Amino acid sequence: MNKLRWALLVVSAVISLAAGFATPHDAAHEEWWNRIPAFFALFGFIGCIVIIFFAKSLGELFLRKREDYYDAD
Amino acid sequence: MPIEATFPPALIMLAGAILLPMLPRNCRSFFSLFIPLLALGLVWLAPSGTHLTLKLMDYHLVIYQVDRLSRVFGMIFALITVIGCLFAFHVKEAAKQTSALLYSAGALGVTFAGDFITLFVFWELMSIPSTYLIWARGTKESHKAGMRYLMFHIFGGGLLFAGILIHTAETGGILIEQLTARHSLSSWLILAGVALNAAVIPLHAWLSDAYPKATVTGAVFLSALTTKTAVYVLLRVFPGLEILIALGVVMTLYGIVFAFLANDIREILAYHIISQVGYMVAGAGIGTELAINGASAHAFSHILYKALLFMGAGAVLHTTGKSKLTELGGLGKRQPLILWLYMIAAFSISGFPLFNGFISKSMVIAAAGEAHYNIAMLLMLLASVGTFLSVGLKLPYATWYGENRGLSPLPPPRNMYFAMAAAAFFCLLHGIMPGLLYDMLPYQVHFAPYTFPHLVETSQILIFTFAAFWIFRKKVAGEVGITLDVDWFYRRPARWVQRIFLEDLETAFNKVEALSMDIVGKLSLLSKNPMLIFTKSGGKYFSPDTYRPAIQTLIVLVLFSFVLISFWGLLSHLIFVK
Repeated sequence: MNKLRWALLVVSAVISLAAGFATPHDAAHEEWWNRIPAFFALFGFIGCIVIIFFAKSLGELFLRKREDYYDAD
Repeated sequence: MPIEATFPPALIMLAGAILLPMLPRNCRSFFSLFIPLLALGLVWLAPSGTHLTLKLMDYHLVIYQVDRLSRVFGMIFALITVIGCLFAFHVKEAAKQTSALLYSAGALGVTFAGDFITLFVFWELMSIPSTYLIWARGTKESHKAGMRYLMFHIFGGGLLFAGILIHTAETGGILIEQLTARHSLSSWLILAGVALNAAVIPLHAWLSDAYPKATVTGAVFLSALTTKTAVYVLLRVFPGLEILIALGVVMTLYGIVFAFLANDIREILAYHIISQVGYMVAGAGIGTELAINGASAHAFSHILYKALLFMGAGAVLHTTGKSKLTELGGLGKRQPLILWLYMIAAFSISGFPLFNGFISKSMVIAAAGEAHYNIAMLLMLLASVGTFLSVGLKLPYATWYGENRGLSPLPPPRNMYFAMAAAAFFCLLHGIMPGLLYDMLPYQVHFAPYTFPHLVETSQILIFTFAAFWIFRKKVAGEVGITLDVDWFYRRPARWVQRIFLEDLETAFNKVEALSMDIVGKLSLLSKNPMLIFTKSGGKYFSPDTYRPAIQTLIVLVLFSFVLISFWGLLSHLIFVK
């Protein structure tokens, strides 16, 4: 990625975070996650990492096999 | 016969499928476009109500019944058949075109069926042409996977039929009704049969096994029809069945984990069908008006963007002959149009604002929140992170960017671009003007997708998912190999079953046969040549010369005894005469 794209990413990340802090939350929909600052940013970031490493470790543990696994006798 | 607005679209498709092979070769493609267009028009015009019934013995079959729920599904099935036939416009084999129309006829028939018998007949009608669309690829893998697919669906059809028979015996009626509250064997059997077609875990392995091995054009129809007709039946027969929420959420997460591990691009997309259908199954389980609306809207959106994804991946396979992440790369410069059309679908499935996934997926998630299924809601949000990771980032990164492997793709047929553009058009249209889709839904919609908190939430999730992907992009690269799934349980033991029941049994039979043939052979030789009893020199290479010395000796002995007797007679005569 070149510098322009990095800048774009950083700017949009900052805007979305700032907008998140600026959003007033509806009292009727008050849930515990609304009290955590930048919850959905953390959710996306950590969720993505969790998925990557969880899936990879499952694969390494027993799910990934050679391509001829079912053909080999 | 004049075709009226109340003519069943499924019968139009059936008639088209029967007529198509009789047409001249160069008319068929146009005809295969015209028939689903006609069906689409009929669905569009059909007024609500019952339009065609038939008396079969003591039962009144309801062949064609329209309401708001069936209309929205009928619309999308007919629309995607048009787009799929446009994508397959260059295909001239009548068998493939007929299969596509028959398959679609089955889906439309199920959608507009008013009784369980009609539903079952059309349900089974879908399974055979869809199997053909897998076999038509012509490879050894597709042949085997198609057979497994067919077996699975025959089994599922059996479950459904058994359920319908018991249900009819119990209630005396065959009309389709809600079975959510009926906890009897019949409704569990029907649920199992339908869940199998909806690829509910653990009855899903046929999907991820067979779809990546189907033909390039056939996969488009497969991705759209089978699972979504099952979703429709779940929405109609089992709305509010709570177990479906758990099953649906498991599907959303299971799909993304296995999609992440897959190496074949169409396998990634196939696992994401399971994941996306999970939202709809969960929606059926929540069962509120918002959830039913959300599941229907998501089915509509999903069919469009998933078909577009399969068309994009299919175009790559068609032009390069490759479909593995580890064999693709650097195609972005050579196929910019395919890349961008694919990315429209990828943004849609990931739920980007202004794309149709955003306005439908959020409905299901909001329905979960509204009904206070908070865990389900968060897990479904997590699944949408995984969707963006695999379909929106990993797959296009590895295929069109990434390492340049010097592939030189052929130009695809132009109709492929038109079909992809048509699907992309609807993805954007509904994303920008959600009202067009919302007006078709079964219930009045009181849901606004474009609210400020919702946009902020979505953009935070997507931006930071991208950031995590970029940091770990090296870890995400595809790896050579296959992933085990529950198909292991019938593919791996198949070898042992084959060994015990076929190979070992055959060896035993062969041995018995050889033994008995040996005994018969020896016995027959014995009756030919009794000398064998004395000589015991195996009967196989019998030659009369072998025993000749013995016979000669015998003859010589006999002759010699004659000589002796004669000599004795002569001698005694000479002595006693004197």
